[in-house]
Amino acid sequence: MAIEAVDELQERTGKRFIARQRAKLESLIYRYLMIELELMSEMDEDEIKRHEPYFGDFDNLISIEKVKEHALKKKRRAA
Amino acid sequence: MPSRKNDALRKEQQNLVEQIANIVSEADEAPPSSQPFPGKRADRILANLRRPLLVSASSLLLIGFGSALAFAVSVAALERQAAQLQDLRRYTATLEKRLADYHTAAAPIRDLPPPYPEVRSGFPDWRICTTDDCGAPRNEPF
Repeated sequence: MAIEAVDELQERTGKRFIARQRAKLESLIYRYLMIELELMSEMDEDEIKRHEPYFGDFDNLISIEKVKEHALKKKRRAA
Repeated sequence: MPSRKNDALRKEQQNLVEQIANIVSEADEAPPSSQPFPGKRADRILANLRRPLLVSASSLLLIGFGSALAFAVSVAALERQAAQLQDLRRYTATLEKRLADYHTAAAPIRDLPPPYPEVRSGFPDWRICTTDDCGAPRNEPF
């Protein structure tokens, strides 16, 4: 998902990331998504569905839907 | 307690977003994608391509008539060539038949008599030999 997110970021901003920048971005976005998952793990299903993650200046840039789906699946499995 | 943890996580997320923003601002602008026909020419070509093809009824009729005429002329030319080819085949067959007749009629002629009487007089014993048992002539002229 982090790789897809970097691709999306590159496409939307019209920038060209070099390998070093890509690697750094992937790692940062991966950490960001992991925190999102952790935060959502403490929410119930409705809260997860309502939740709109903060992504600063790039709000709505990265599709968090997959992370949400993942969190919901995890929640259902645990239930 | 979980709220404090969540706050810490949110803070970390904000920090991560700032770092992401810094990297994005440092990155170079991507070069514009190369177009095969840049500029106004491309727009004109694309506009022409997108324009619906409109042909007036009279033009359509003219094109149809021209096509029909060309087709008819082609068919007539082909028929004429086919007829010529047929004639040629017939003529070839006639020639082949004549050649075969000639081969059967032209039997090998041996020991022809000398052509003129004054010459024949020098060959008192001449005769047409039609069989293979002619043997040697009785009178040798020389």
